[in-house]
Amino acid sequence: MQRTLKNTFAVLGVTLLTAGMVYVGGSAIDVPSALAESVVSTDDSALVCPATGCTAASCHATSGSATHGGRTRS
Amino acid sequence: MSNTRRLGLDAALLVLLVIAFVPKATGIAIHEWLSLALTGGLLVHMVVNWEWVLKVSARFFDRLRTASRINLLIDATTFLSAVTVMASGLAISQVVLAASGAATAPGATWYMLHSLSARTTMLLSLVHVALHWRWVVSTTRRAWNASPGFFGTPEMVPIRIDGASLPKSVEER
Repeated sequence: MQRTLKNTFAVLGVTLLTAGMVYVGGSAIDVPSALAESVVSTDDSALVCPATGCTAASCHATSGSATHGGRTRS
Repeated sequence: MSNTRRLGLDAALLVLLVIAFVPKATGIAIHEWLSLALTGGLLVHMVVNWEWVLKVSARFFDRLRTASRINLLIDATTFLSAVTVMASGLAISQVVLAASGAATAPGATWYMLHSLSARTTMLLSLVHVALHWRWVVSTTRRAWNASPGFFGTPEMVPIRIDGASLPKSVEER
């Protein structure tokens, strides 16, 4: 019984330690979604409306509509 | 824990793992709660086999069967992969964390990590089962033979047709 308890604590310790390392590693290489969104929005100039040649970010909000004929953001 | 119970636990874990592997089929809520239960089962599986892990780890660089060495390496990789699935799963959780009142804003890396480690865990788990297949078969066979009545095989009772009395031990059955 005592041995089982000891093993349980050992397993929990190893698991939590590994999970902690994974979390720290993952957080270090992860780009937060808010930052990723801002990177995408600064890249609006790459989107060009095939109908009008418009590159304004405000136009992209209506992209895909019949009047504008713009491209959707990928 | 007896071998039969261990086999039952391992079989249940494998079934849960396969179900948790297809969140599109179950829906995200069931996927998350099931995975959490799976984590508990995995910890029990590890506690039950922890003595073996310690024994083989201590002799890893000494005289040891190659099969045991490969088993330990596969098990360690599976463990690392499984913990990565759990950690990344919690990071991108939509149901379990919300139920606990926590909120996260995970980036794309966590989703990628979760998907990749889930596939790796599934693959390594199947390798793990394959490496222990002999034990699975022998334990199943032993469990089958030990309780034939449980599995539906009728018990054989000797009957004398010449009217002679049966031995007392047989009559008492």
